[in-house]
Amino acid sequence: MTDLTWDAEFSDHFARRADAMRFTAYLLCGNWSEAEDVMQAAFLKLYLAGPRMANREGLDAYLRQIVVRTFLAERRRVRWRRERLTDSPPELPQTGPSSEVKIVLWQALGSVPARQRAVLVLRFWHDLSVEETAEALRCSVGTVKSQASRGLAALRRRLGPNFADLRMEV
Amino acid sequence: MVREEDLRETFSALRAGRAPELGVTAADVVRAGGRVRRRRRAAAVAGSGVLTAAAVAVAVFLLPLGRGGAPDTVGPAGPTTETGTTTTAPVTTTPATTAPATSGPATTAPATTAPATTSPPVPTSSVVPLNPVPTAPTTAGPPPRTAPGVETSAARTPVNTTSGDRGGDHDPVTTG
Repeated sequence: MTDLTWDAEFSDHFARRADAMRFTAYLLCGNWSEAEDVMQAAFLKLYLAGPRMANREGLDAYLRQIVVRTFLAERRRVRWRRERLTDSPPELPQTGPSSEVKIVLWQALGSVPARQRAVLVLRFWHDLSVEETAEALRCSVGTVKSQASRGLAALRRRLGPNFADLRMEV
Repeated sequence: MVREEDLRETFSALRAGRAPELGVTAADVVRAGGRVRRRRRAAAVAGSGVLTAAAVAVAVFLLPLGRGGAPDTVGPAGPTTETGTTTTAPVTTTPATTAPATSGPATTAPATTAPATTSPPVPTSSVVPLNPVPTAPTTAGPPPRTAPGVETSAARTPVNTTSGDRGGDHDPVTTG
């Protein structure tokens, strides 16, 4: 494959998938600026790896895998400065109907550890199976199950017993 | 209690919400990728150049040593007589060996260096059967075989330095 062909194909793929990948990164990171950085790094890796790829059937899955792994690697690297002081309020999701529940849930999701959060996003946003999630995260099926279970438990702990009442009110 | 449906609904609501404009274009990524490729290529070229230079340098340093190893084995026969580091000690012993050599030319001299030339009976084979017979081979045998290969040459060369000859190969000629 020549470079020009790949460049054109890459540009086309970027136009189609950049927004979705950025949103996945947003679910993982919790803020748009970091999500854009992760998305850009993921597309850069895809662009560099593209000419060596023999099979481009599962380009979306490959890109999603790169996004998740880039996010995890980034979190691993900056673990010591995960909480930053800032003079601006944290970003809040755009609200719709029954937004209070989602805001509370979204904020609780931000406190879940990165790997468990990645499992939750892949399982419940991308609707990947346990096996596919394990392949994307390069871990065992049992690890995915345990991470999902722990992630949900962490959410429950974070939300407390009042969350069910809040949901009922809505 | 958090349900999976709650998570899905939350994610869907977030997706339906308004997102900021995308600040990156495909051209930006392609440009960045080109930069990375150029940098990698330059690093590869520089790395291979450094490796080649290192290999050449190692070869240059190692080849003389490897080539000098053989002359060192031959050369010391000449120069070591002048340095005399080892010759000082053997000087006392070698006269003892040479003295028997003069007294008994047939026994000691062949046993040390040139047994095949002087003694018609083959030296090693002749020594073995002669072992039980006298004490002379036993006394003369061990000193020449272990260390004296150098010592005798060092001891003889001073004797033969008058003729300016060096090397143990010519000793039989000088003795003969």
